[in-house]
Amino acid sequence: MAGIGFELRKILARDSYSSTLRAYVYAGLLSAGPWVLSIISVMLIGIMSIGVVFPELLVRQFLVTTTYLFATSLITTGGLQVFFTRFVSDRLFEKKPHVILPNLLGIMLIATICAGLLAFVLLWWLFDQPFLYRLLVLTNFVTLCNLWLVIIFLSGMKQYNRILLTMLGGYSLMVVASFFLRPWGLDGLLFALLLGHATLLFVFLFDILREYRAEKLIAFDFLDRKQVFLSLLLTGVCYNMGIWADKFIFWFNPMTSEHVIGPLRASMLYDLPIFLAYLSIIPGMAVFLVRIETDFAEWYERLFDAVREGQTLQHIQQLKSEMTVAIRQGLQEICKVQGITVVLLFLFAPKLLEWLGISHFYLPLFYIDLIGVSFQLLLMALLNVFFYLDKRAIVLELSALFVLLNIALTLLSQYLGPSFYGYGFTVSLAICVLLGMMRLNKSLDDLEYNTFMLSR
Amino acid sequence: MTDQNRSGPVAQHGDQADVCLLLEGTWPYVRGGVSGWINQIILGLPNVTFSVLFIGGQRESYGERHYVIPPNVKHIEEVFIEDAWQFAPRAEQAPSDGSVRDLANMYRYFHHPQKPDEITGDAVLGALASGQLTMQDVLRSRASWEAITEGYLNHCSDPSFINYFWTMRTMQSPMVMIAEAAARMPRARLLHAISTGYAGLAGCILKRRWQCKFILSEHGIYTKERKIDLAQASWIAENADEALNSSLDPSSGYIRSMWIRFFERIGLMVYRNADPIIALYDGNRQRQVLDGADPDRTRVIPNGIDLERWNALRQTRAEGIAPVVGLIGRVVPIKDVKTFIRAMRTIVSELPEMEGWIIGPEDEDIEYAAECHSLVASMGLEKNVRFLGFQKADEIIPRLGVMVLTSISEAQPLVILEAWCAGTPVVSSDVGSCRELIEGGTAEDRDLGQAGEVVAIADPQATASAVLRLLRNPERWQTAQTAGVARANRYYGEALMLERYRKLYSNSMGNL
Amino acid sequence: MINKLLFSGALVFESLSWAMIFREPTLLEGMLYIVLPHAVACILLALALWMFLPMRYKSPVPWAPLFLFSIAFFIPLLGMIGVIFSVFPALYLQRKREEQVWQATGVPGLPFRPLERRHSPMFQDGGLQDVLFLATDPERRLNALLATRRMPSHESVPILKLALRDPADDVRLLAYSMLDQKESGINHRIERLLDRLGKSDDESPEATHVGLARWYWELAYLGLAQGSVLDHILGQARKHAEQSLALQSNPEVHLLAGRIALEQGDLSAARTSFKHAETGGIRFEKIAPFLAEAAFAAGQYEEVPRLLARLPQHALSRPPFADLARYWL
Repeated sequence: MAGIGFELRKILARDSYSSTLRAYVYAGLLSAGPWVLSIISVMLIGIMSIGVVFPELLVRQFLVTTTYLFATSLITTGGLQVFFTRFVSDRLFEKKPHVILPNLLGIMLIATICAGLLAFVLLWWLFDQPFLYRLLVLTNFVTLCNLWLVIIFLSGMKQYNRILLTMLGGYSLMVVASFFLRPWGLDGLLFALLLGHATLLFVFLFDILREYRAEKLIAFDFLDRKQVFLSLLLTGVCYNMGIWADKFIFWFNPMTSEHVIGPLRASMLYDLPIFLAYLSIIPGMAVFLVRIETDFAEWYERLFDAVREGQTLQHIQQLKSEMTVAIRQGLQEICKVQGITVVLLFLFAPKLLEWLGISHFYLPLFYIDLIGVSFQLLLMALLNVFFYLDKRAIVLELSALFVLLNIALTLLSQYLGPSFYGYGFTVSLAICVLLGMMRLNKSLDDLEYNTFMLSR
Repeated sequence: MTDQNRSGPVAQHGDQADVCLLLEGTWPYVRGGVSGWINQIILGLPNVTFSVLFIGGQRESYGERHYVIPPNVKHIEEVFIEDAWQFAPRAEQAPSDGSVRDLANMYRYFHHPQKPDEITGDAVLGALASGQLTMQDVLRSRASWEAITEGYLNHCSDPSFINYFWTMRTMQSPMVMIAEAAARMPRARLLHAISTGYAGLAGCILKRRWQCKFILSEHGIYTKERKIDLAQASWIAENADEALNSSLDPSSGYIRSMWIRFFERIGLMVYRNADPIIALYDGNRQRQVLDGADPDRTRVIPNGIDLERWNALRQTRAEGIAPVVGLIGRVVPIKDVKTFIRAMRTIVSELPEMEGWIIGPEDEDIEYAAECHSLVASMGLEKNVRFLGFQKADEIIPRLGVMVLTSISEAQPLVILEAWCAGTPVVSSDVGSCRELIEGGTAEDRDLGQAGEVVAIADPQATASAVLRLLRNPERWQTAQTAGVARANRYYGEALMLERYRKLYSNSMGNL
Repeated sequence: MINKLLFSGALVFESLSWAMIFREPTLLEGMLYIVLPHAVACILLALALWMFLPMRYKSPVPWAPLFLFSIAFFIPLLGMIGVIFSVFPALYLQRKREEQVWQATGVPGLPFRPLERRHSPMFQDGGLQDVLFLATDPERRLNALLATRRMPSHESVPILKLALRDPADDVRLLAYSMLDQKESGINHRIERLLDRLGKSDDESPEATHVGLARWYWELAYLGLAQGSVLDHILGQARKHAEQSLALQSNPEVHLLAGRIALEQGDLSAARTSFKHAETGGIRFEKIAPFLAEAAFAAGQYEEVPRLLARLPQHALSRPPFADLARYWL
């Protein structure tokens, strides 16, 4: 989320309730926007299609295919996203905006070709669906992979209204198109999905390409070991795998899943509650972004300015404690907001599920998932702080731990039986958050020592 | 230069050396008085074998060796201070916790405002000599961090922590590096440092390791020279308040005083460990005592020259007073060649046939040399002042009427002794032992008469009139010549000096 | 021409592949009748667009067209549309990076920076010169020298010169190095200006000459030169002042030239320069002291009070003129 703090701070600097509210709304939409809107739109498409697209299995096939597309594209590009975000921030910090465009197109070139070939091989090998379905899946996959890379830049762009409108436009187009393309069944819906995402991709790309002038079209500076941190690749992959590990386990356990299309399986039981639960973190996400990117980041900058400018040790220590307070307050506020949201959802969950036409059977799982995703939010906040402090090793440690724990505990929960479903995900995140807090404490305690004694 | 003269040990094989020489920034890389003296000692005592620890600043600033390594030098080890600051093991290596006590002692001894006691010094030396204190400990350990920050919080009055921090590292890491280099030295039977400072510190460490005698010979006073450098050094960051401050506060910032204190403490440590402590003349000996040397250990051994050779040169002199005023020395700021040129302006105005010769290599400070040339041109002295470059002293000195030394700092310049033997009176600036040399030290010495004149530094008018007095008054010139010859022959023979050192060495080693 | 061919070729091949797509082809048929023509169409399109790209975006060569191709190929139809209507125009319509004109920021806190803890000054009564003369401890004399660092140079130079004759080596050396630093600093500036003068692309040689004149004058004014050296320096200063005036008249420089001439003892030249300065617009009370000095040097003592009287009252009541006023007026 390079650059967002700066813009948010500008909005907050106007110092009025409306501007504060605006900052939170922007932050929420920007951080949660792409994927929350995706979930909502896809669900909307699904709901709209029920009763129109026959047989109903087709709708389910569409939803599952979409889920797989998101999961696989996020996992494949997760590493690149983290890795490339850092690359872009570093170059911008070095005041070299002219290297951004060629490198973005360079990484898109690599991502497109790799994603295309990977999808081609998998679709050839594992699927026996009609050609058109396979073609649409491949195209959707490549588009999403590129979209995740392009989205890195959104927070750095200044025209927020424009970004929000684009998002709104893209997803509306997707929903509207699906309405008209429904007669073509699964292919029609997949094409609507593609249309929406491709629109987003190319409109954003248009804006970004206009923003960064360059001297050439393509560059591969990000392949230069000296300019990048390879560990970030692994971190991104681990983190995204962690997020999806429990779902895949449920999808491919024959006990908890059923076959849907081609090799794709899904778990009705497990998927619905967790995707609903994800919608609950939007407010927390907004708070997190505003707190971490403004308060914390500001103290952070002042702290390191103080170090560089030769302030007294006492002053450096004072700034550090201010920064620590900012982190603590940020985390507390996330907890508060998320806590309220969770409590409210706990209270209204039975009615909500009823209203959505979902069986009460899902309630316990929904509850535990609500807690789980809240922990996930905290973990994201912690990871962000660690990224600021340049503790790449800790981030990698936490991400790797997350994926391992999630796999192990989810398997354990399946072994223990249905009343433990969802605990694997939640407990693994809880452990990671606890460990992250401990690491954070230690990192902050040792901050001056590390800064002075252990860096060059 | 042959390969043999490039860096690297000369000979690792062979027996244990008798004397380990500890040199900082001199022989065999840099020409000059001290290096010449070292060469004289090594060549003059061919039966004694030497090993050498050379300590330099920047590796790049030492090109090729200017002295051929004599066969009785068995080993040369080199270490460069600046390398210590390049040391950067990555943080991934688990930082050792260091020895809390050692690091606290290190701070206490070298950086604490209060004068430290001997016990602390011994403890620090012990830690350095045993290799207990590593570079990791000093640069990475938590104990080091605590020692440094505690010092800052309790004593530092300069607000900038980062300046303080890096100053501490820049001071501490070379000490450890020198200790590590010392550990590589093959054992010798006796230590001889030619200055305090880093070389002296190496001496203290090695003395602790080898349990042998440690002799210190100082030409200049190292601590004093560092102080002068530091008082004006522009690389020490001044903090903003300092620059704005308009009061007549003489304090020059905590960082500067930390540096001065650091070199004072090293000096103190060396004086406490060395025995005997040798100065070239009594003025410096008193200074050493003032700086903490035990008076009982101090003694004076003046420089000496090869009397036979130089006395013979007097025969090659032409009759009468040659109309030539000469300055012998490298063309560098410390010799203050500009004052010589300005004095020549006045001399030539009075005696237009006079010539001024500047005899010495110009390659050491090319910029300064260029400034001197342009000064000559702008003074209209092109016809009278000549730059002769490096010349053999024994060929050129007999051709001078008066030799002038305008240096702003000297210890006991050999060139004055050489000039006397060759029959040339000397006008010198009042630095180092020059007054003692020219006017005589003891009463007995003074009876020999003035062998020239002493003038204030950077005073062209006074220099010119002193030269003119000698040149215009043959009688006065003659007396000065006689006094010079007599004094050099009585007190400053090389044989005398070498004999004193031979004795010193053999006493300290037991037998030789 | 060739572009048209490429574009229409691309269109034809792409239509071909799309014509096949709704016939539910098998995988092999799909590869043959859809993917192949699509690939050809993408190649043609990539080439065509590549040729139209702005010059700087045509490089690097295999990669730039390959990028266009890969997007068009792996995202059939929409990729093509995207490349044509998004990527391509964006590269032509790039925004100029504008400097941010203003930015809203919160109220910054007061700077936090404690002052250095200072010890009481070491001086009691008497000036630094007294310390140098009378203090027995060389440490105190050294401190006196260090204190001069905060004084104006023309006041500190005489003190430093005095210290060159100090009995203690340290004091002398420090004084020398401080003097030398001052002198070298000025000499470096002079050298740089001379360098600039030597180059043909000097935009304002008159300013360079003034600079030289001022720095040479500074050397003389600070008392860093004596005797024949001083004569030489004043000569240089005058020469450059005059060269500057020959290029462009400037009352300030006339005043400077007058002061230099006065120092050289060339009273008539000094008076002429002062006159020029006055007609150039310099206030008379600024020139009057120098004219009085010239009158004094010329022995026209009756002129001196007349000139001094024209100084404003507040100037006469304060140093450096207070003593003069008491004597002459």
